[in-house]
Amino acid sequence: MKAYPLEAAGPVVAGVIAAEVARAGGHGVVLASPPGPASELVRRWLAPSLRVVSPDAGAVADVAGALAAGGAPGTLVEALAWRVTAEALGAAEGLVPIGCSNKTELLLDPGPLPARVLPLGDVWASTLHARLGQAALPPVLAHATPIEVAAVDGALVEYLERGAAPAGAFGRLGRLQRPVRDALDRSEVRRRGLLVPKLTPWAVGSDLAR
Amino acid sequence: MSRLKPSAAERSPLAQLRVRLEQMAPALADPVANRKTIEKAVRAAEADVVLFPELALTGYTLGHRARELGVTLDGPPPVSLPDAGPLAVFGLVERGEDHLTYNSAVAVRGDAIVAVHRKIYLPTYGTYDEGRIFARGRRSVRTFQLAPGWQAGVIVCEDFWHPAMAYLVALQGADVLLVTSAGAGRGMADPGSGAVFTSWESWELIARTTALLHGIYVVLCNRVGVEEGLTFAGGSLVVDPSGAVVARAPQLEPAHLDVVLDHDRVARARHPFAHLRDEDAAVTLHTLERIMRER
Repeated sequence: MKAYPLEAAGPVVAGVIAAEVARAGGHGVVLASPPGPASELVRRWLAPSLRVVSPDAGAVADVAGALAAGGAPGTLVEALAWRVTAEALGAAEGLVPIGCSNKTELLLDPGPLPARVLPLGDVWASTLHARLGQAALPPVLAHATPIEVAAVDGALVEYLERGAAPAGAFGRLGRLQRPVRDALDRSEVRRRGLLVPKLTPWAVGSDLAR
Repeated sequence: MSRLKPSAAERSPLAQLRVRLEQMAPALADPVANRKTIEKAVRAAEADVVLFPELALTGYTLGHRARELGVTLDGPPPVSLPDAGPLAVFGLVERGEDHLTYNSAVAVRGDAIVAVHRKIYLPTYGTYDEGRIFARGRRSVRTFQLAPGWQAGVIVCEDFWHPAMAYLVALQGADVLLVTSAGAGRGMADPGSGAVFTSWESWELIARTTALLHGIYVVLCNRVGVEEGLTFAGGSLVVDPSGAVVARAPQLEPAHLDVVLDHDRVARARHPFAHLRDEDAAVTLHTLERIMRER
């Protein structure tokens, strides 16, 4: 993959998020992802033009406790707690919830999305790793090395964006080939984030996609 | 597409043509606001022609709203322009006589619609959904008189990526190819390059090649602004018939670009080079007929 200076994307991302906040009639954004280098990057990009709020960590912990007590799977508790808290704060203060998931996570993580608006959603994990020294990864890549993550990102580019056959795109991933392809097949974003049984001629999610 | 018959006073050819490109960010689904913007820009321009982007009257990501925002073109034009003012060329949603919805470019002078081109190639891949919203234009590609002595063709965005379109315009004696576009930026460029997106390199390459091959001016007006995650790149440009970029607007920002086109440059690009003189449409036609028969 051709590398580019990540900072160059900052003004473009900020412009898109600002337009969405204006469209939604909001007053800023609330982060629906835990603190870390990615959320700091997003904050740095957006803060000059938008109000950026993080939920109180104590409130998130309280929600997580309630979710765990309610039987939420341990692997999802933290993500769900951030999402729920951000949505509640957003609704109360007129803030648009945004998640900090990267493109690799979105394509390979079968779990729920942190938010509908994702400023880093078109930035590969390997690009973030090169710039920030670390990047969040989907469970299927939890034990992958940075070189393997870059290879997976390259395979996804070949397959999804350049039309390569699966064997050609994923063939060099070795032990990761099958789990990566399985994760891609299960990913929510492959369905545009919505699944609506089509009953009318123009159904949300399939026909009225925009 | 219709043609206006020039009056006697209009027949004396212009050696130079003043063109203004309005690289604007149309308000989404707000034709009233965009109409005012277009009318104001045309009245303010000291130009013979003012070119606006694709769907300048409505914005781009219209989805199901496209049909309700469409206008018919069998009556007065959808904008009010001074009779003696410049020719305005802009994009709009056209509601056809067949009740279908088209992504069209229209040329308007005063209260007359001079030309209409219905976009033929509707991008329906990746982030683009035009084939789900608009009907494909099926009229043949025609040229029209831009100003006395200046013949032009107008095409819309993705049409430009199909070389037959420029070829057909050039074969009809055009001096200028006008392109209205809503090209979204793709691929981040190295900041040292002075560009924001790498995708515009492809547009410029096509524009320069098209101008050089046909000995015509290419005048390309791309929009700016953000709609639903798409960042429109801007970077409008004018390429002379030798293939040189003679004017370029910045990326991402609204801008005017004023350019004077010179008929002498068209003449010089066609001599001693003889590409246009030697172009053999009959060979092309025969080959196309054979290809179509064998398909």
